Amino acid sequence: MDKQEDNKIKLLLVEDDEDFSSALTSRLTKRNFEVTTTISAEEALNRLKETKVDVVVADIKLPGMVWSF
Amino acid sequence: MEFLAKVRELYEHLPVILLTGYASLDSAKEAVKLNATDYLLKPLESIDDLLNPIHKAVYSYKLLLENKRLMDSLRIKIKELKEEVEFNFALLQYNPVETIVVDREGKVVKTNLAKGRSGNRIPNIGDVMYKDYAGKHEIDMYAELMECIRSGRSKEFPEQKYGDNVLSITISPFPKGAIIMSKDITEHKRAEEKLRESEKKYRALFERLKNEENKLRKLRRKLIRVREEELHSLSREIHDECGQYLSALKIKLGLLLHEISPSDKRLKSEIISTEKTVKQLINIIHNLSLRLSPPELERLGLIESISWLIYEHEKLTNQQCNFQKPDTEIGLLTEYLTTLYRIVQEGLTNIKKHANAKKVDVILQTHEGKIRLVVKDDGTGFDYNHFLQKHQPRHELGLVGLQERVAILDGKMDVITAPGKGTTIQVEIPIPDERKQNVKP
Repeated sequence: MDKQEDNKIKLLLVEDDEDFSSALTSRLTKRNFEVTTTISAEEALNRLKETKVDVVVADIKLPGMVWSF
Repeated sequence: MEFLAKVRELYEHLPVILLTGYASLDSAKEAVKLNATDYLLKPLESIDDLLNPIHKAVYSYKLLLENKRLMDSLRIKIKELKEEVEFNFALLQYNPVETIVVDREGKVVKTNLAKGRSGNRIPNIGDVMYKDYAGKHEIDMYAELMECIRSGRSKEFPEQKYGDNVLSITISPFPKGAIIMSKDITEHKRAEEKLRESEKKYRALFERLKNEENKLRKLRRKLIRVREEELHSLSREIHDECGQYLSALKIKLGLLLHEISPSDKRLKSEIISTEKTVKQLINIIHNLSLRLSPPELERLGLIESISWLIYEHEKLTNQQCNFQKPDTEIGLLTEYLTTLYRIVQEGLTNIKKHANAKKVDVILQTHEGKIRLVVKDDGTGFDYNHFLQKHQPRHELGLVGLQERVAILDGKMDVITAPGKGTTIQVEIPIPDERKQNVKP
């Protein structure tokens, strides 16, 4: 595996506001992050099962995030 | 189930940072209580507002993972060590050899179960070996122990007396002291001693038996010699006494024949017939005397004596008799000569009496320090086993008696025969070194 790749922090972003999501992704990518974006809690869980993740950043407003609305 | 709880269930320590607006601040605070790592207020003033908490969370997370990994490997190491300790413990405690571990001063540090099982006193921890404990050795074992520890070389004391017991002791030094192993070999030694004693006893018994056997053999040889001498003197007496009178009788009959009137034919023929009988009697006496005692074998020689026997046999039987003999006479003790002569004599007598043979072979040869004698005929043969059963008790000059004589001379005599197959007497006798001495002890 590429060393540079390995040093990157793998971040899973859970956010349904696409504008905010893409703005954040581009900034984080510039700062040596590897960002995976999802728009729902359910999708995020699936991604977690597939890939190794160092940190999750999630919008609390999304349904199913903290408790069911 | 909600996301956060699910993530916690699956990835216990994975950092999760919640983004929240002022409107849901309370719920965010609640979420942190419920295991979220941190929360940030939206909208974000700058990207750094997000980066710092993320870095902090990831750093902690990685540290935690690393810590966990280290703890895991530590746990494995501890487990391995524990097992090794258990095995080492077993090595010492369950080893059947009595083992004591001492430090460099010779003080007891540890002992194994065997030390307790053996019934002896168990040393106390801290006892100085061979001073406070096991001090009854014949040599200064403490000095030996110290020397082993000092030099780093192990030493064995394979048979160390300790009171009434015998121990086998090994001292093996290691950097922090020494291991002393001892085994009670008293029973083992005792058994060994017993074995050696009984072996000695048996050897003595064997020697005595061998001596007895030798004595017996000497006695038997002497008996045979005495018997031969008796037979010889008997033979002479018969020959000389009877022979003399019979010769005189023959001469007297001759004279009588001249003195009677020629007309008395009846008396004349009676005298001639009587003279004939006397002649026959002289012959019988002569043969009987010869049969009883062989001629002077040392003077005549064995070959010459056997040749004469064969000549007589041919004359009496008209059987073709072949004698294969060595070029020169064989010098042997009288008893050897007599035995060989007797075998030929007995063989020929049997052939004459029973065999109905056409051809007889006598072979005498020396080969590789042995004398070989063969008397062979092409006659009727006989059942030897049946013969052996019938001819008990043994007759001194019969086949069985001769077999015994040959055995006394360390030789071997075989009679090979079967009905219709002829008979072969085969003799092999080793030539003794003293064969030239020919002395009568």
